[in-house]
Amino acid sequence: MTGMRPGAHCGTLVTFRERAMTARTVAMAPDDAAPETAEQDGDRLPESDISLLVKGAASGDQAAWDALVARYTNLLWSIARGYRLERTDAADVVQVAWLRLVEHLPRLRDPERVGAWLATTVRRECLQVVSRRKRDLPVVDDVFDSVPDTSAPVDARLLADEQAATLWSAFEQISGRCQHLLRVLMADPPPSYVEVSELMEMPVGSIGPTRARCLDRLRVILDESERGDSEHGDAETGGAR
Amino acid sequence: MTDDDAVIARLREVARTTDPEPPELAGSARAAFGLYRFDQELAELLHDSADELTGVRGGPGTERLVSFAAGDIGAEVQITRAADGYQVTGMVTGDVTAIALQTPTSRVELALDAEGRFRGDSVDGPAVRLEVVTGTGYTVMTPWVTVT
Repeated sequence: MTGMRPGAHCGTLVTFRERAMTARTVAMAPDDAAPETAEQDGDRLPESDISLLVKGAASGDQAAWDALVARYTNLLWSIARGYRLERTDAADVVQVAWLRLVEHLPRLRDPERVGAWLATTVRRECLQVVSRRKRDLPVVDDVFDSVPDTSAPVDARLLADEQAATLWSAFEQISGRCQHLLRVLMADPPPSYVEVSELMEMPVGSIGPTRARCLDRLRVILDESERGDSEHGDAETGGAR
Repeated sequence: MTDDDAVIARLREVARTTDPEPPELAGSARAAFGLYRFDQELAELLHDSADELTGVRGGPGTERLVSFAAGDIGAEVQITRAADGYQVTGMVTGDVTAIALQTPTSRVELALDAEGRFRGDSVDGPAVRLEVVTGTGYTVMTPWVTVT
């Protein structure tokens, strides 16, 4: 990587990066303009390309590394926030996962599974942070469901869109396992189903049905909260579009 | 796009709007690659007192003990939470000629006394590691120790 400008020496990787950026732009579009979903693997980086990026990084290519960062940072962030870590703790955990990947690059066994490797690393780091933070708190069984939510993952006051606030509040009421799956699926860019399968340790065939069940549960909670709202006469309506 | 896809897309949009990753996060992840070396040996973590559930919690002044080994090289490290960060002290054994204390953004060479003891100034997290240079010119890195 000596003296080379990132991206100047490997057209393929530039293309990867541009595709990653395009995916992000699409996902940030204000309407529901169909960011790629995990079913549409055809337009996503295949595992062999991920493997190429890892091998490129292992041989010292910063552009390949940057493409991995672009692909996985939001996923790792989403997972860490799913553990209800404070934003600063979540950022530290993600940063440490990348540092650990740097030190393991030359000996990573399955380069195409780097996303799962990173996610597992983040999870382990999250559990350690949770356990360190928890020593002040009563012992609980389920990290996802029982840790007091002091981090306020989404500040409802920031949500100009009341619908979004309702949706997020419902999201936080579904089971920990469902939240975890949806957090993986909603990452930007979304992971492939093969990656989701490895991240969630569930067969590819179970992802669709589990996702459907989780979203059904979400809809039930949304319906309940809508009924609750209409009983209370829609007290707050400020700031909608 | 199915209804389910639409809900996922909407959740993605809400998360990105209301809880985006800190803007500097991707930058520090990209910068981490600057620490990449092809040729360094990674020491094995032997023990970390933070993994013990019975351990005392890490308030200021609480000591964490971590040990590493790589071949004949060993390192015993104490990490103490200080008001302004973390202080790393310890001892290396084996044929060690120099050590340095690293954080993701800093590297400080530490003096070794005749017994192989060292003492670093207070450093910031989120992680620290030791770089150990052996008498035969090898560089051994310890794995990162998370100190948040």
